[in-house]
Amino acid sequence: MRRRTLLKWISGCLGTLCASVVGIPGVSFVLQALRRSGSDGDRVRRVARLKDLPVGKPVAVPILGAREDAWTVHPDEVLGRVWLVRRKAEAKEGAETPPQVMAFSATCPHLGCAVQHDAKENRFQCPCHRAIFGLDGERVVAKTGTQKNPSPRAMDLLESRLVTDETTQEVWIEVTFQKFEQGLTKRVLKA
Amino acid sequence: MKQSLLNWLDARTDYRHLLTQIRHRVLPAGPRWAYSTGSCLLWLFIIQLVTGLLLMLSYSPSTTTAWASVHFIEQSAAGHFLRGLHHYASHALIILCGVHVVRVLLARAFQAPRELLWITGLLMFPLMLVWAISGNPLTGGLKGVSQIEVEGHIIGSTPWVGPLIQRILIGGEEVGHLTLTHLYFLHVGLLPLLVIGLLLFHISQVYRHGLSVAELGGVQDDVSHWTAPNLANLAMPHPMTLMPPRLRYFPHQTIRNMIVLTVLLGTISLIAWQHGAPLDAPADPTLPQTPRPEWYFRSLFELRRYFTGDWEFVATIIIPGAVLGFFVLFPMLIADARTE
Repeated sequence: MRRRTLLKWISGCLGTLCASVVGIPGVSFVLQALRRSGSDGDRVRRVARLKDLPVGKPVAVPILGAREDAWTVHPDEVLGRVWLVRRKAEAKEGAETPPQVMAFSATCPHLGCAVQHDAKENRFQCPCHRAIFGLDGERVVAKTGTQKNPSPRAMDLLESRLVTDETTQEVWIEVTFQKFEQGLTKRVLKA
Repeated sequence: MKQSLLNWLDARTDYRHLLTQIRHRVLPAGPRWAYSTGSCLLWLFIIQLVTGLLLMLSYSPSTTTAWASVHFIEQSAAGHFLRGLHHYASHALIILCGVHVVRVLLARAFQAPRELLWITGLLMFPLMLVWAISGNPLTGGLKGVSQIEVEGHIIGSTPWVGPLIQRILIGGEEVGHLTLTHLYFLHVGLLPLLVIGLLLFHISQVYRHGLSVAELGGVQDDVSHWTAPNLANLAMPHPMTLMPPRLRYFPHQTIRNMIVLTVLLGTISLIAWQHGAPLDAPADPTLPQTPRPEWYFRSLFELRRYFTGDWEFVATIIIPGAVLGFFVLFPMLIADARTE
């Protein structure tokens, strides 16, 4: 009887060993998606010349770059779009002036649809769930209807600066393109 | 709580009775190392199913993505190991199939009433070979793709239906996307269904007929013992004969099965870990290639030297078919010879 118990125990151990030889790499293989990082750092792009931007009317520009999708590298793809809003130039010198051009990610912070420009009302609107944003990116409550603004936060403002090209002496807008998690009240950078 | 749940399950499935049947199964002539071939085949088969399913997570069958996705799998240690395991276990499975068939043949375990066991087993063997070679071109590698081209021509050289089957398999005139999706269909769809169907029947027959008289050295395997287990008597020595004590399958045979499986899987894992499954350069029709068949088709490959031109189908279809047919009918032929 003792011998039988021992044999049962050894059989069980060997069976578990064999199962884990396949099971452990198997689980590790399935969980690889968790370890894979999507973005490869910030992408700084010169997106438009200042003189080409009309004042008070948003312009959408694409962000181009290489995208790696598992076993395929797409060398030149639209990674995302950015809305540029040029404000009226403030006359006061030296004082703290808001940036002349603001850049917003065109990805809706609600569920990730592409935010469009509503030319009639001159504001941003997401076609998916009617999230409305002003030209400053803040959420706007619709005048008509009782529907709340579904977006949890304002449009994502991207870091941008004006740079002067060394050869042509033209002023360009340079944007740091980043992606943020959707559906959160706070801005969280996508891993 | 747990007990009442199990009671509920047992009242509906009668699983305890089934478990007792399996647990109290007795091998009349005692456990043997040789009996472990069947069990090991089953476990290797299950390992193939599991590793194959896992590889499907990151595989994409098309001429543009096949090689790249396999290369992608190779980038991770887990993927490298699983693909290696899948590759080398397929070779082990084929060798073990051969050992199993020879063991059954020597034990004359194919005789009545076990003919269907023998026939389903024999039918699974060529299906396993086709299953194995249908996997090679899926890598989109140079060797695999030139192999399927040659294999397509071999099928095409068969009179009448050959060219038709070749076109369906290749999916047109030339090897392309459709060849890979067709092979994928065979490898992960049709062949698994066919083999699993035959296998379930095969195993149900094993449980129905038990071990053969010849395998047990002249003792009848009393199947009734484990269809209606008499728990008190089972572990007792047979009263009238000078036989070894009637040991139960579990754990006395199970421990042997598990030791053989562990050694087998350990060896395969070691080779898989150290060498990995081969992945040559991506397929390129402009590069010269001399595709050679896998070792398990080498004999048929050699046979083709003697039948050239229009007679090639004798080597590729007629002779293998005749050999298989002869072995399938072997139990009946032997039985006829006995009665005469």
